[in-house]
Amino acid sequence: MNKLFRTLFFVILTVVLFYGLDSVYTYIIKRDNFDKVWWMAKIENKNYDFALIGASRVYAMVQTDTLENRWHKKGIDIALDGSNIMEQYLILKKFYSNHNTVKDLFVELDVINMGYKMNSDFRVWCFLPFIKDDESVYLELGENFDQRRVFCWKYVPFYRYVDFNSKLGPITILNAFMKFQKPPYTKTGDWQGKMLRSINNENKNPDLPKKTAFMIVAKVQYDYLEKIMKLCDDNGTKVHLYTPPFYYNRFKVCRNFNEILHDYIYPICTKHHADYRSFCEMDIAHNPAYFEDYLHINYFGLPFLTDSLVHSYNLDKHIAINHYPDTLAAK
Amino acid sequence: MLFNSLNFLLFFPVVTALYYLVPHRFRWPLLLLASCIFYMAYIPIYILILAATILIDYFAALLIDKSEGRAKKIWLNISILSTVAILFVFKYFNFFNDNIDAIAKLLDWNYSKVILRLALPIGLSFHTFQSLSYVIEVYRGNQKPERNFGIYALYVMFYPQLVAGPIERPQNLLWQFHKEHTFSIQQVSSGLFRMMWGFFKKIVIADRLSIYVGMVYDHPGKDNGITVILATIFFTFQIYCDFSGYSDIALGAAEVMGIKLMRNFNRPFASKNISEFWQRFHISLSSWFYDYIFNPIVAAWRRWDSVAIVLGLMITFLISGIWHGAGWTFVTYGFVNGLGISLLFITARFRKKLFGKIPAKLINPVNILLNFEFVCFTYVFFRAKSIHDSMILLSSMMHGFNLKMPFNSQIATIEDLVIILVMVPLMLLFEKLYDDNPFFNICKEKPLIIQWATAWIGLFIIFNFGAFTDAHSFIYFKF
Repeated sequence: MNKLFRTLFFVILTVVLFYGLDSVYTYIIKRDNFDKVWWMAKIENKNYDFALIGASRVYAMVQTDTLENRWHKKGIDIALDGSNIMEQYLILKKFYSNHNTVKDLFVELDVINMGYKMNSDFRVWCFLPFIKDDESVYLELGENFDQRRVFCWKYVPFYRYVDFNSKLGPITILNAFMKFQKPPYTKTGDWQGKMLRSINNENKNPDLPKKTAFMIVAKVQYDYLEKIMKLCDDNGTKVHLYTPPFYYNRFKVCRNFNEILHDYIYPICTKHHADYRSFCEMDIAHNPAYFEDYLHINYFGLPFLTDSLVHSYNLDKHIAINHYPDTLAAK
Repeated sequence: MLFNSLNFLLFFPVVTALYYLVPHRFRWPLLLLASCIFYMAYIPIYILILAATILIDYFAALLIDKSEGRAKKIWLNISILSTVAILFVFKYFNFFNDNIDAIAKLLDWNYSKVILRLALPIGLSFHTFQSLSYVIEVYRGNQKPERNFGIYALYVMFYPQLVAGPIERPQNLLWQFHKEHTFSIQQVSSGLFRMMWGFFKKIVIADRLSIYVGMVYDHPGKDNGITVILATIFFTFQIYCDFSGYSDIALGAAEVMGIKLMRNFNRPFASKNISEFWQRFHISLSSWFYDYIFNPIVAAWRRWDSVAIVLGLMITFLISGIWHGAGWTFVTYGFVNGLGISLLFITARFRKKLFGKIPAKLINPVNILLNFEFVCFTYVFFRAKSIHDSMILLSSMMHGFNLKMPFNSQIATIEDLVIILVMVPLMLLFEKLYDDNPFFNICKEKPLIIQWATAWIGLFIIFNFGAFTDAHSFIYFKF
């Protein structure tokens, strides 16, 4: 019996030990800014004129500081590379729950962004340090991932750090003390930084075949778009949906693009008084010299897209200026 | 069900707790039920294939026991043929048909190819061999037939070794299901520590090595020189850690319930030649082939002396190769191994004359190194997707010796390489110092706090350095 009690004591001690490790990891990870979500979580009580949200096609393709200078407005890039729309919704929710405000929100919308699976492990790890104290993170992940796994992330001590130990493991902890990787985040995103690899105008795939059929639209993605719009409505933010160019205008490749526009995007825009603009017809879309790959424009393409954004929106009146046919401008 | 999955994390403690809570007479039904659930986690309907094998061999063994002379042999042959026929249909039919089709095309015959679109039942080769072992042992009179159908079914289906062995013999396993096992902390902790060592080898080493190996072997011709050589060495360690890791988990899970399974690995990389390697690597399969294929061949052709042995070796290893998979790469893998062992046998006297006087301390490390290189070479055929790919990979090894190339971040991150380069030698060292259950052997008979500290350190290493992003299946599951 004595032996059994001693064993039981050590089992409990093991749980306590892992609980302690979990708390230490959470504290260290949250303290630093090695991921954009963790950096974002520390932005509180700020007021912005505009913000940009999306995945890498915002994070690496929009010059927020140029937009600020040209529009004479204060802006922030809250895009997260590799994220899906559910993760973007979580970021925006965090942004508002930290008592930040924004007048105009630019939501990047495309077949890649909207085609990502909701239960992808690719980016979800950066939300896990918040799963215990942010109920919305737990609920949203629970709806999209295996519920047992999400349950373990929240309730089994240290499980979340075990499951993603290559991202939230000892290297991250070591980094927090030794700082061998510097936090790259600024309010203008990372357009000048590591995301734009082909700064030397070297397009690696200029002759990519045009065969990719990008997505079969699942309703869940549009539910999240609707949730983003609703969140913005509740916080008095005007939403502008837009699609930056793909090399060779790939967005058009998607066969059901027109149906998507008419069945989903236009009704959502009308319902929430938002506007939609496509930049797929820009001249640079046909020139490989302006692209890093078929998804991302490069350093030389950046000023063109920025310029188009500047001329396409009048932020003082919160409207889009109608230039293109694929556009639903606010009347 | 994967051992390294959330499901198993729940399944194992529940089954073990119930096992000790229920009276002895309910234990085998409980284990049988658990094994069915474990197997049905893949493709549930395939349990019927397993049931067919079990039924055939159960009744065949009873009939063999009752019969005498020719009838006895007929029942044995019926049992072997029907069990092997199931294996053939699911594993080899398409391969066989592809080759007939290729020959027909070559000879301009009119042959209409039939393709069976069947998924391979998991672990089919393992339980087929285990079942065959039972009927052969009954036939030879080494084992009495098991009258209790449930216990015989459990012998074939016992969940820890159901899908990837060890391929047990009835003499070692059947009686253990009849014996009442009492709960012992020593036994449970030994089993759990063994499982932990298995998880360490699988999750920390094998799954991490698989990232590097996959990047190189899935794109033959893309990398060359030292990168391909390194990937081949990594694969040799990967397959060892993957398979022996599985075996350790299986042995540990069984040990927790008081059941001892046979040892399947015994530090194979310490082997001085390929013959010794096969006595230390996948021991349960090697000994199966030795007992049921090699020995009968040599006995049948014994008047041919050495020729019988060489033929026996070649046939045994060709069958062993094809046992691993239906493809020419596996046939070549078996052939190369057979050739290696045959050459070793043929040159034994000559080598003794030439190197016999060199002290063992000098010659052994050289032999170990040469043998390791040979083993790595054979694994090129095992891992490559086709003979053509293996030729590309082998020729890629001959050029491009830039030392920076293997550390290309597109193949593996620096963290991956650091973990590999620290953990692989650590694993080899621990197995040398502490045999097959290092975590347990380090702390057994030490104070409880030391035992728990060992467990914490082990868990900490696995949790922090394991490759958890995708639960990787075990390589041998597909056999």
